[in-house]
Amino acid sequence: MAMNSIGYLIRQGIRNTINNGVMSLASVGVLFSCLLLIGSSVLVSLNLNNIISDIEHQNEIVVFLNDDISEEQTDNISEFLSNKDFIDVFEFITKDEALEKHINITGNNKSLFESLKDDNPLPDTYNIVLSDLSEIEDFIEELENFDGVEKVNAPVEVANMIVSIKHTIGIAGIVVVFVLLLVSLVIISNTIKLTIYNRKKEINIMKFVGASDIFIKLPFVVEGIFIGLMSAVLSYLVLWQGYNYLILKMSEVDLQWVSNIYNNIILFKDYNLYILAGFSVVGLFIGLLGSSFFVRKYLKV
Amino acid sequence: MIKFSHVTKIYKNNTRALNDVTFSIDHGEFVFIVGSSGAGKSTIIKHILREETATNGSIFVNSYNLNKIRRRHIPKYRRSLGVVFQDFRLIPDMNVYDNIAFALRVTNIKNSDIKRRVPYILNLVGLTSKARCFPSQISGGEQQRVALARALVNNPSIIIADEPTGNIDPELSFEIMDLLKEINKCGTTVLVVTHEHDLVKKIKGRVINIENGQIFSDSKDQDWSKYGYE
Ligand SMILES: Nc1ncnc2c1ncn2[C@@H]1O[C@H](COP(=O)(O)OP(=O)(O)OP(=O)(O)O)[C@@H](O)[C@H]1O
Ligand SMILES: [Mg+2]
Repeated sequence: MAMNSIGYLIRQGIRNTINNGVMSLASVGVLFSCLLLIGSSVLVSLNLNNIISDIEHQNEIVVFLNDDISEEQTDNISEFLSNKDFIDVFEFITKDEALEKHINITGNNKSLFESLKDDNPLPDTYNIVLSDLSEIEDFIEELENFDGVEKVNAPVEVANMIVSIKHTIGIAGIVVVFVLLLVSLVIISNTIKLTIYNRKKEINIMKFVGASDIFIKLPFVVEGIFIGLMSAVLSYLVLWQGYNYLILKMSEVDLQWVSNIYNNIILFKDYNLYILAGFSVVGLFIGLLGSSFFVRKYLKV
Repeated sequence: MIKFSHVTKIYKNNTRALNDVTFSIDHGEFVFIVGSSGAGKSTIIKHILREETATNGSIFVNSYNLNKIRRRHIPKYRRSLGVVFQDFRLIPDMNVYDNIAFALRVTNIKNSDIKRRVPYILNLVGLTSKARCFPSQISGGEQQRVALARALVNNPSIIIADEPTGNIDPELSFEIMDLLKEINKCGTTVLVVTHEHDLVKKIKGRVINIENGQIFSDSKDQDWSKYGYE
């Protein structure tokens, strides 16, 4: 295929898109809506994850150590903890530090601290914050088996709940996105079927003047690319403006739970490139698949 | 050169449209195909265009064996033919010039050649002044001349016309026929399907008469007894 025909075919594709105004608009509308829904569900699940991570970080594991623990034993535990990559931070807190913290020393409580210091009822502890709660139960069991560990306090039930919520959100997100992709593919393919039906005559003319398959298909492919990219850019702009508007409105609402969410909300600009890239890929993919695959299916060119 | 050899066509719904049809057309001939409605005339054209394939028998056109031609060679093969239909088949949203240039654009021809060739053909069919008009803005006869121009623009070795005058009035029909005759004089093979006996009578050419999917008579073939005549 010569270069001048490629230029011609691209112009034809754009001409077709414009001439099929209603059809093209319908395709763009469908793809736009689906991308918007996909983008919204992705943003919602990102935010949910963020909120849950926040809750996750508020859950501390406290390892109470025996009073007579040896230095070697604490070293063992410290080494064990530093090798776990699902640990966000851990901290060794001596009984004195714990007491200090507990009494929350201010001027007049200082004497209380001094009096209790020699007979401190609190143990040395490790305070551990996990970044990933999914292995918490095994982890606790391992900790409990260390010499010198008296007891491990951990929010196991909350942790398990968080893990299952995260899991559910993950699966739901994938299912929603998949269903939306499928729906847009079906609708786009139907639109293309109609478009092809409308242009059957033109395609037939192309065939008997000796147009090759690729020559007949390329304008449809260009049309698909065009529609895909247009939908991607449009839905990106709308999602961006809509999301930021929503955040703005949230900041004005004076409700505790709203401001809780607001404090953990993710910012669009942190994800804008991924969203734009994702939209373009999905738009192109559906546009191309719709045009090249279904053109072949319905045309038998 | 067109050669049908014992061609039988049975459509999917079991219609036997052609039944053991054998004929051959030499280079430079002017041939009419006549016959009543449903006789199988368009079916013959569709086979030449390779829109349909024979159920039995073989078809050769311009050294292509149409039973064996590869799919990817079909477009190139079709470019060696020029086709005109009863319903013109112009693209409505392209003007006259682009409708004709279209047949050249599907080939790898250079833009500069398109710019030379199209005006030449427009002049040949007498439509230079209508180049920027759209099909809906010109008469039926003019539309058919555009279709003819599109068929000619590739310099095909064979022109095939399925009832080219079916939708235009008699005077214009003669005009189209004269054009076809002119083209034939330059060495192009012309094959015309028609109902109109007046045309056949006026223009000297070979006449193949198809009835019920069989060759009923062929003016080239003097041996009428073969068809049951004394
Ligand atoms: N695609 C098809 N499928 C099934 N039967 C067909 C098909 N095309 C044509 N036929 C049948 O084959 C027979 C021959 O049809 P054809 O179109 O060749 O006739 P024709 O000689 O061109 O008639 P007309 O003068 O009316 O155009 C007819 O009986 C027709 O109904
Ligand atoms: Mg017919």
